Amino acid sequence: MSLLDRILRPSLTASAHCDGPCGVYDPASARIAAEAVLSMAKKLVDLGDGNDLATENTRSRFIAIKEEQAQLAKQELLILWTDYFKPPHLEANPGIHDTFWNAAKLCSQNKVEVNVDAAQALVDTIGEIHNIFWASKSRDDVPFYTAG
Amino acid sequence: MLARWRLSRYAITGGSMTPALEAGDYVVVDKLAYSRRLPEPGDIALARDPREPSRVIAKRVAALEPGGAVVLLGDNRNESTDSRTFGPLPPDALTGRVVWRYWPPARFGPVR
Repeated sequence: MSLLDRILRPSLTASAHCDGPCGVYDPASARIAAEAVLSMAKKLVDLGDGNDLATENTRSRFIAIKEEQAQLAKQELLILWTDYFKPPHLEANPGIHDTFWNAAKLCSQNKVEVNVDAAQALVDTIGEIHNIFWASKSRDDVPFYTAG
Repeated sequence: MLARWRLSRYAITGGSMTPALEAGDYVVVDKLAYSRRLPEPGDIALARDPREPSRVIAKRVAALEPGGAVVLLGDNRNESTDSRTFGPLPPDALTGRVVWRYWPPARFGPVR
């Protein structure tokens, strides 16, 4: 800390805050979970129908990860939906509730089924949420990365 | 040392008052402002956070209710927790008015 800053810096702070300290919300966590769901759905299809022990074991592990990551994606989406987005966002984007409901339903569908199309739809819907989220912060320079 | 004086200095954290106040601004606060007059809509006031009284918050006075309760709102509504969440505050929760910014130098001047 420079001498100047030491002299100027107040010892007291006043918080112009929001409860979620700004910057904690990011659709990236939901996107990463959804990508794992998509990856597991593809791997399950590629694994085929073998019933030997090793294949059964691998299949079980893929299913467990798909289940867990779909649940995680849903949880991350619900946090964004209910904690980050506020009435002014809804005025700017009346479709927010439909988009999140659709995304949460896709999480459920991906738990129930092994469905590559549904998994891709989940990733795509989170891409829409990514765009709405960053537009709400007046940012258009945040790319939607995907591993696939 | 300044504690007994009328003016205090505060560092601003958070982005709910952007662009009037930015995180990292250093400001001067008139602690006696509201012992002499009522809060007025448009003032940027400091207040004790009703949910965590050790924390001081900076928000703009949006309105005075008929009973005297003060409605505080952040200018940056998308990133603010304010009277929309915790309701209007009693006037004695207000601890001062932000009057002047002295840092950064490029934005030195009265706070409006």
